[in-house]
Order: sequence, then structure tokens, then C-alpha cells
Amino acid sequence: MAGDILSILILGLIVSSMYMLIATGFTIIYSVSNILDLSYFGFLMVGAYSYLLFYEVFPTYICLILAMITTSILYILMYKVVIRRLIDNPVLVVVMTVLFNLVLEYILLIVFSRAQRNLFPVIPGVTEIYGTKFHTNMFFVMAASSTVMIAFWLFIKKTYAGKAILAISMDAKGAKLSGIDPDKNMTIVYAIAGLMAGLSGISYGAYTAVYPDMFMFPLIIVLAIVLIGGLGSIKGTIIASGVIGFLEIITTYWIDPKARGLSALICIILILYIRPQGFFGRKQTL
Amino acid sequence: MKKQINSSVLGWVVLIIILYSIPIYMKNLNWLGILTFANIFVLFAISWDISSGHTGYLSLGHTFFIGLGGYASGMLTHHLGFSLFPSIVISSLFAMVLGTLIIIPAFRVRGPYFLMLSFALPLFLTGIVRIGYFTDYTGGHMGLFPLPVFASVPDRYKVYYLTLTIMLLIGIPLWRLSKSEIGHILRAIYNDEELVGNLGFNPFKFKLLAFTVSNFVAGLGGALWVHNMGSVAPHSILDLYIMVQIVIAVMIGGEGTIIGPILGAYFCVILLEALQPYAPGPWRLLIFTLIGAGMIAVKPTGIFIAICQKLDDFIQKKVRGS
Repeated sequence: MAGDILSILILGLIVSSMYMLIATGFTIIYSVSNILDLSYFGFLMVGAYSYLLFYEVFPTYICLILAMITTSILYILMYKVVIRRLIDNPVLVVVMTVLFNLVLEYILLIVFSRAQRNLFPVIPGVTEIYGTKFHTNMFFVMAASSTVMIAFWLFIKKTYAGKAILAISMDAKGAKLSGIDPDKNMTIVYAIAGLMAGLSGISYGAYTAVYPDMFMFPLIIVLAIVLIGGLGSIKGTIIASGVIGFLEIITTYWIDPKARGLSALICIILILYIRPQGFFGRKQTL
Repeated sequence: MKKQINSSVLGWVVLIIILYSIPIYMKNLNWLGILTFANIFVLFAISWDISSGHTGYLSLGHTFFIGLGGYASGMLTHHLGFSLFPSIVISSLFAMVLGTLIIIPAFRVRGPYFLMLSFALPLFLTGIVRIGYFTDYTGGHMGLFPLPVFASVPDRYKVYYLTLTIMLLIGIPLWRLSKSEIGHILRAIYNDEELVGNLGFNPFKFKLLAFTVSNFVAGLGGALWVHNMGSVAPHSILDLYIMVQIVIAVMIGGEGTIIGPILGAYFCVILLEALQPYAPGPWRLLIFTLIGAGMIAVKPTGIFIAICQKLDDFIQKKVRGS
């Protein structure tokens, strides 16, 4: 029993940190630009698949860095070519980014086929704690996610660019008046979101598997997190990720392994009736 | 007296003549089946248009309401032996009532939240349908089959005319609704809901009306589809792919116009079928999605409605000129 609870605690922390990273990348784009850029989840797939591709040539640590950088560059490209043109029309952004995800899925289906692939772990092997075995890679995922989150927080608080982004998220017009260039800073935001998407894709792929429509499940999870925590609030995102993460572990452990997404969906439906605007307010500062 | 011509009425007459006469000179049974499906798909598109297209409350969960109608009718006919016509009517009403009750709490919130909440609905229904307790009733992952169908193969003409007539019986009133003051207010809600409220209209009542009508038509469409196909399963009726087709159809047609989405719906179904022999599997969907995205990008307000507008200008000029 004690072993059970310890496993749930550890798995809960791992999954929560992973979901927190996924959700944060999505949230910062919304905070700064007020658009729901759903292609973020497509770029999760880009991260996972590019890791697979790089693995043919490079060792795992390098693959990780390369995949993250590739995703970041491609995401910046997506911003410059597509999203920047649509940014005044939020409806169109949602429609086009959903279409983008599907186009990406079909391309991946054509190139890689429907087969699930397993992601080669950055740290292979198994760790045993009090009789329960864990994939060591999962601890790496937790460490990497936490590191990126802390680095991001430091970036926001300490660097000039970070403070500029914070300013835009609070009041875009006021920031512009203060001389902050929205386009340059959006590029930085997309670069960061791209890095997060890359790492998130690899983490999620390590947690489950890599397959062409793997954008759906993280999308649902982030939906639940963002609805509980409130769009645009980092504090809310952190707390909500914990809730969703632990709920998922508890339901898969004690109720039914196949019910994985169901707990998140039930949360969403409950939110619909209790408090559709989320618990932590709409747009707080980052 | 100046000659006046109402090009919308003319357009409808032309459309009706074309649609009713197609089976006379086109004997390909496969295409007839496709066009039958198109008639039903039009119901999906215009029901999404009257709610999301007019009010701007984009719902990505429309397949939920379609699925409610489809599953209700499937279960009524499969388990309880209802005959087709009463089953379809009851299912449509069921989708309308339950669907509206479920979506009402979401009216409290604005754009992004509404979108996310609605997106979860079909996923939730898929989950429920597959839960162990209910699979006896819902058929679980594989679905329910066989279901009573409208007609066997030789009578595909009857089915085509039936679905076409239903489509027109629903489509024309919805188009009139869209052109009426109610339609204008709904489109005004898209632009500035607060202003509409300040002008003395209650936005909630109008949103409620739009979504109630929408859910009825969606449920009707779902029930018709299920009996046209002969089965109901989560991956066929509740899939994101269907939702995307609806969105593409409405956006290339023109949000908030009803007639645009009708044309867009036919275009999408015909295009998808035309691509079939040339593009296998994911290629077909890829090309379709790219074409759809391209058409939306070129004219976000709707290519087909723009064409209708140009035709209208042309006709008016000719009439005035003579």
C-alpha cells in the first residue's frame, strides 16, 4: 500500500511536470497575442519525429538539443509565414491551425505510416524504488521539464526581453507605446514556445509513443489544464497541471488503464457547469 | 416601371432545377449515393452556420449534436424496433433538447473558452459510448449495425429525392431566417455582442434560438446519415475529420449566409469523391485539406458567396441596362 502511494506520488509528479511544460508553451503564445495557436500541438509532433530522424545519426543528448532547435526554427517560420498574417482574425487562426495539424498528420501518415514508434530514451534503463520499477527516462523528463520551466521563469523576471514579453502580455498597446517592438518579441516568444514544444513532444513520446495523430491527446490535456487554471495565467497552469496529472495517474492506476483521457474530459465537462471561466481568472500577468 | 429581378429567388430556382434533374441525365449509381450523402452533409453545414457562423461562437464540437441524433436513432431502431420516420423525428428532437441544455452553460463565456469547451463534447461522447457499462446499448468501439436503411440499391433514386427534399425543406426556411431581422441580429452578435445588448436585444435569447435550431437540424442530419449508412460508430460520426469538413464547407461558402455553406457543402463532398481514384488514403485528405485551406486563405469571407454576389451584380446591371 505504501509502495502504491509512493508510485502514485512519483508518477504524478513526473506526469504533472510534463503536462505543465506542454501547457506553458501554449499559454505564453495566448498571453502575448490573444490567439489560440493550435499548431503548437502539431509542433509537438515535429519535435518527436525530428528526434526520431536525428537518432539515425546522432547520440541521444545531441538528438534532443537538435530536435528542440529544429522545432523552434520551424515554429518561428510558421509564425512569420502564416500566423503573423492571420493575427487580426482569431477565428481564422483557430481554423487554419487546426487544418495545419491535420495536414501535418496526413504528411506524417504518408511518410512514416500509421505504425506507432517508440522513442529511444535519453537515459535508458529502469530504476527501482521501494519495489516499483520506473523508466529512468521519465525522471529525465521530469528534470528537463522543471529545468526549462525554471529557466523560463528566470528569463521572464531577469532579462530585458523577458520583461518586454511580460509587458506585452499585460497590455499590448501600452507596451508598444513604451517602445517595445511587438513583432520582434513575438518571434522570441515563438522561439521559446518552439523549444518547449520540441521538448514536450519528446517527453510525451517517451511517456507513450510517437504516432501521426498524437497531437490530439496533449491538446485535450492542455484544454483541461487551461480551463481549470485560466488562460494566460502561469500560476494557474502550474496548479492545474498538478491536478490533471495526479487525476490521470489515479484513474489509470486504480480505475482503468484505458480511461486515460477520460478524467481530463470529465474535468472539462464539470468546469462547463461549475465555472466556465476557470478558477484562476482570465488574464493575469505571466 | 423599372424591371426588377430578385436574383436570390432566381438562384434558388436554378439550384432546385439542377439538383432535381441530376438523376435524369446522370445514371452513375455511385455518384448518386455520393450526392445523397451530400444532401445530408448540407444539413450538417447549415446547422453549423446558423449557430457558429452567424453568432461567431465557434463550436468545434458540432459532431456531438450530430452524434446525439445518430446514436439516438440507431438505438431506437436497433434495440426498440422503432420504424424509421418516428425514430428520426424523435432523435432530432432529442438532439435539440439535450444538446441545447448541455451548451447553455457555455454561453457564459467568450470565444476561446467556448471553443475549447465545445471541442471536448464529441470526445466526451466518444468516451461514454465506449465505456464498458454502455457498450451493450451503444455498440462500443465497433458501433451498431445493421440499421434499417431507407431503401435497397435499386431505389437509390428514391433516397436521393427524399434527402434532397428534406434538405430544401430545411435549407430554404433557414435561409429566410438568416435574411430576416433575427439573422441580422445574430450576425451583429458576431461583431459586437455588448453593443447588441445595449441596443435593447437580449443576446442570450438569440444565441439560444440559433443553437436550438442548429441542434435540431444537426440531430436530423445525424439520424438521416446513420440510416443512409446503415451503421453508427464513434470513428465515423464523431470524428474530428467530419468537423473539419464542416468548417471548410462553411468557410469556403461564406459564414453567416446559409446559401454559401450549401454550395460549399456540395463542393466539398464532390471534391473528396473526385479525388478518390487519384489519391489513395491520406493523400486524398491531405490534398482536400490543402485546397480547403487555400480557398479560405484566398477569401476568408467565403468564395462561393462572393461568386453569388458577383453574379447578382451582373444580373442587376443587365436588368437595369435594358
